[in-house]
Amino acid sequence: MDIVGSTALAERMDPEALRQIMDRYFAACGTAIAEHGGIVEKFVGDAILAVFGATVTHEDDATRAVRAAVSALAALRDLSAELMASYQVSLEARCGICTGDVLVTLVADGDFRVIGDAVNTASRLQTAAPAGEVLLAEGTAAMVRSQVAIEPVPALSLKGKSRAVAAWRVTSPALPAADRPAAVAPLIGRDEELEELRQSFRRATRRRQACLTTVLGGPGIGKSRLVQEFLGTLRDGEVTVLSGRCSAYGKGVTYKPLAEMLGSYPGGWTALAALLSGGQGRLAARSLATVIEQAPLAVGESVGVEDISWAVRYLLDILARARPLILVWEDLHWSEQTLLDLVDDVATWLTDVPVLLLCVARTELLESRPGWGGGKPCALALELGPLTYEQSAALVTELAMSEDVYPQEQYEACERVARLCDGNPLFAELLLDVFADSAPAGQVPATIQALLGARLDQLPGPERALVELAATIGREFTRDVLDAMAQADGISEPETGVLLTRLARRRIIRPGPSGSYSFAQTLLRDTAYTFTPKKRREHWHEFLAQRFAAGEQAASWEPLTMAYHAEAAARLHRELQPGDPLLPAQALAAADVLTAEGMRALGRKDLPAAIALLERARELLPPGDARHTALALHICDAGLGLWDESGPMAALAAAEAAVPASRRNAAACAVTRLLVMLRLGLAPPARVAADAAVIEAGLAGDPDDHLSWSRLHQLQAHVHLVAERAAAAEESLRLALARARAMGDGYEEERLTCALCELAQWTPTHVQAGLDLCGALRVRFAANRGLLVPVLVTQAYLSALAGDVPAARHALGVARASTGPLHLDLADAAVMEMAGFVESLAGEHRAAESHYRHCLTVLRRAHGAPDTQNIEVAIARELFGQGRPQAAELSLNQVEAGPGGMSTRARIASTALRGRILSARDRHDEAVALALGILELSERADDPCLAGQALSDLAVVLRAAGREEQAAHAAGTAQRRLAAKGAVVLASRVRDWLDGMEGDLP
Amino acid sequence: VTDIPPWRRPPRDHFPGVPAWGVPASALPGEPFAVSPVGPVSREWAWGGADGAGVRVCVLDSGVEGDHPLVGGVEQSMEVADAGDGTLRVVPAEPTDLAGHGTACASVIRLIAPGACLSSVRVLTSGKHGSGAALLAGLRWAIDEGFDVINMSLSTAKDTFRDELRELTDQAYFRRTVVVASAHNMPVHSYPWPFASVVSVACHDGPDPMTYYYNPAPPVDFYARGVKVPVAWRGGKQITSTGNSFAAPHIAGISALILSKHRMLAPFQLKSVLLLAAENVARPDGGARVID
Repeated sequence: MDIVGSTALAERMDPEALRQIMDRYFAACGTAIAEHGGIVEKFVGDAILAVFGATVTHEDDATRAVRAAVSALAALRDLSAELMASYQVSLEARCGICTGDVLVTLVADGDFRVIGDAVNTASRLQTAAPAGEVLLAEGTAAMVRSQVAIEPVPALSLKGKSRAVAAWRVTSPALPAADRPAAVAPLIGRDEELEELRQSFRRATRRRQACLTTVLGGPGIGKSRLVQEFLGTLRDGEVTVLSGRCSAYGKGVTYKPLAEMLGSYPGGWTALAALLSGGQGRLAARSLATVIEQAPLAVGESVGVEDISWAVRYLLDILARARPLILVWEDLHWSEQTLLDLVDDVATWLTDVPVLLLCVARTELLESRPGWGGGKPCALALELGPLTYEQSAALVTELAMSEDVYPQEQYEACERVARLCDGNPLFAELLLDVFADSAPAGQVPATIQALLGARLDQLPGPERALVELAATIGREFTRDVLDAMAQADGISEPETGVLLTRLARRRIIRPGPSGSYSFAQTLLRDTAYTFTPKKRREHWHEFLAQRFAAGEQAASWEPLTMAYHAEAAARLHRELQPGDPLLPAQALAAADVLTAEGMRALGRKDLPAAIALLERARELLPPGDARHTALALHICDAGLGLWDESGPMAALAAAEAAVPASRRNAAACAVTRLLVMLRLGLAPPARVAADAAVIEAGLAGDPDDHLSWSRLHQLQAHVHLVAERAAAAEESLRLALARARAMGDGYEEERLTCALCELAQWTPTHVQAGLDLCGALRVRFAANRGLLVPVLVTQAYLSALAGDVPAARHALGVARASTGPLHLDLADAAVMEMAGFVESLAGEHRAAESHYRHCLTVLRRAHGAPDTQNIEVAIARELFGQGRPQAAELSLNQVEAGPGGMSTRARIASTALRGRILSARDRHDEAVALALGILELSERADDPCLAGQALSDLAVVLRAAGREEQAAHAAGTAQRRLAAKGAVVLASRVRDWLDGMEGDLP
Repeated sequence: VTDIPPWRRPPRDHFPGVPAWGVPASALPGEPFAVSPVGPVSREWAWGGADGAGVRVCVLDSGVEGDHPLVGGVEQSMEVADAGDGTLRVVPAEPTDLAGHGTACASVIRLIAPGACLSSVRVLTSGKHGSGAALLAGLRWAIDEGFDVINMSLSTAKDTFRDELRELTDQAYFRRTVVVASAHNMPVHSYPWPFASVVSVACHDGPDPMTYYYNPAPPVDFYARGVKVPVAWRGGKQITSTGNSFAAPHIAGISALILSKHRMLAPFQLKSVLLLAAENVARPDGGARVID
């Protein structure tokens, strides 16, 4: 702000008197500014530069600035009256306010300086303001509109600005009472529930425990209101509260509520990231950044769902150590399963820190998760029931009678509302609104939805039109987007402001911070949306898709929002004109966005979300588009991960229907269908192999169809693996990998590389080649420990074979450190199994047995009952190694008596061991017969270690039976195969035994 | 000795040697004061032949239309007004009603006690509702004025006014001003009707203005006619209306009748008489079990 005509004043006054006058001016204005939380940055001549929110920000800094300016001008008017009496001078000033980013530099004594365009613009606005008035820049006006009365002035041409600048004039520092948004409805009849929430929080704090409290209830019953009341009772600084909301639209975007929640931390994600230091902290920061900022990943790098869950726990642990933490998950019934898993994990695994997980959901949550919260030491579900008639009446009375004293005439409307509202507070509130606007004549809508519709129908035309526009954007919307739509719909910007104020007064919308708004209730938005004609919705969704697609550089670039709107437009178009294949202009771009997001989800093994996103993408692709094929295959991959048959089959059928003319699509789908059938055991391997051969013959005519060929080789690899032909499987995978590289498909390449790495355990390929691959993958999967663990297990196996037991033990230690905190049970079982192998190799048979038994326990507990035959045979082998042949035999009997046939691998291993047991009891003929019975099978097995073990067992049995020559032959074969693999320890043992240097083989 | 009756005097000086609030026995037979002896109470005994003459009734409400034929004039017409300095004063006002509610209540009292003398204080300053401060100012004035009966067919749900309202109604009780207050029409808590110092009234749906019942389950003391009651309304009109608002003036009117016949009944005696003459107590088989 600055004095008007101060130069003239200086000429006229004695300098000493002028000094006194100016001192009083600075003091009066300085006080007004400080009272509103502003800081005077400097006095320049007669001008004052005050800053709001420079060092500490408030939600209402802009409003504070406006009110400070108005009261400074008022203070000056009072001062001026006094000065007139004593000095015969009058002072007048004017103000300009602009909101924007500035650079704040701290100097000595806590003082600071600000630099930025906002400072210059404010100064120019000030110069343009009439005496005694306050002018606001556009950004400031948008932020204060719901609090302060303002009106637009003609655009100003300001010095140093190339274009005319829009400006607003403050007409009153507060809105007239009638224009202020209505107060929050009172909370009635929820004392017990409120106490339960307080109790949960006390329990979390006192026991330093993660407590999961779920508030359940139908729409409008007052869940959010209860939580709001509870949070309102907490003292500032006593607790950190973060909240995020799931939404019905945006399906598949698993972590959006999490991003919103972490963004609600003061200072946002930037401030949180600063808390994450050290190796583990950086890992957590990187994992979280991928979901919060959509940070790009390096090629081939990925972050898994378990890593994200771990990173969230790591961060929450840090936050909750500083002070108790409350996480509010709103509308959790719309959450993706993966996010529910995350919330569940936090509640289960976060220990010794005070955290309250406050979940707000409709009862539908229990339909998708019947056991939600079950089995936790500190879980509570609160179901909010309807209010009693008395409570409804009290609520209605409070809502309808805000004044002090009322006569006791009959309040017909109030009584009817209290009876009709079914104990639902939102219903009551809306009914009152309906009755307030029109006498309750005739039928009253019977359901809350119908009532909301009636409420919307009562709105005057322009307000209704604006509500429809806002509902198309979503539950939350910003002023700039709404303005753009309104302008296109013929509503001017100032008019939009007036309409928004009216809608806020009617409690239909609620103003939020910095130019944002939200519908008062989700249900209200949904109803407004449903009540908007589809043609109109289609039009506006397309408009919004266009806007949010406005180039990657633009601030409005929100790819997922764009995709949502494009999708909605496409869906509505199909509903309106089912025969018309026309898609919105943004459909392809949206499909690409959704595909990319789906592939990210697939990369982190968020399989349900991946399927949802990819299926959404499919709906936006026109028939005949080549992208249909890859989408179907990826949906199949995700579906297979969930052991689901119908999803993949439907996806393939959809692709075949969408691209009927493409031979390549037909081939890729046919191959993938066989793969699904083989993996899920829907068809015998022999039949799959035969069908694959037919497809291969067909593909011969199209050698460049890399995708189909790559998938065919993968299918063949699986067929080989089922028959224990690891070498052939490896060869097929290599062919598949070459095809993936030829088409530049990073996704296929990564899958195949992982498969090859794991396969290295069972192939004749030299251990060193396998170890090299493991080394490369360890670097790549550092942040995705779900993928890292199998690599480490393979590495341990190969290191042990190569004779480096310490390296093997180290790799397993690293793996356990990952599976533990991430609670990867199955991966943990794999680590234990490998630990058993390594200890067995080191001659520690008791330790080995214990590891195997641990592994068996985990596997038997696991969902989907994995095959445990190999582990059970391995346990028998360890018992035999401990000199307990009888126990070993009993153990084998149990395996063989188990349900279903034995796999080739288990059959070889158990028969070889039986031979050894019989031989040890001098039943040589039976032993030899058994061992020779599997000779052909063993020799054909590609796994050198499996074959080596079986052949050396045969050699021992033969020598004990006195058939030395045959024994030497078998041992020689075993030794050669082991040596070729690089399994030096096992190979040298067999050689030493042959040479008579070793007494007996384990 | 003074003209002021004992119940309206300031507290007596402390008598040395007797604990506070007490008196020496020697002082007891001293000053004579009037008593209405309560005989075997019947309706006939209670109000037979009475018309309310000589009893002053004040209606705290939206104002009373003095020239309405069913009201038949008011003695004093006052309103609560801002004195200009933020304080509230009770000042004379035109005998008009901003809403109709006060006129309706006055007409019920007049119907029952045609000889009573009616006054009005407008505390519902907007007609439909008013501030708690205006209610307190109006009630305080009416108690100071020494009305025999104050009709309050209104209440406040705001807890902030509870304590002061209770003090005022206690004061009225000790100073022999009977406050008749209607219960809230919704099942909510409000004041002053649940206080023990007032006569609280809700409605029954019978058509007889003189039929009322005692309620043995407090806080409502009596049920009087309040459903589809023909009442006066502003602008000289007459309407049929429902609410506890219209039950209270029935009891206020009956109280005026009783007091005009038994001038010296204290409020606690009046409540007893109302009880003993209630339909369900006085009539054989009316509901009450009379124990000797």
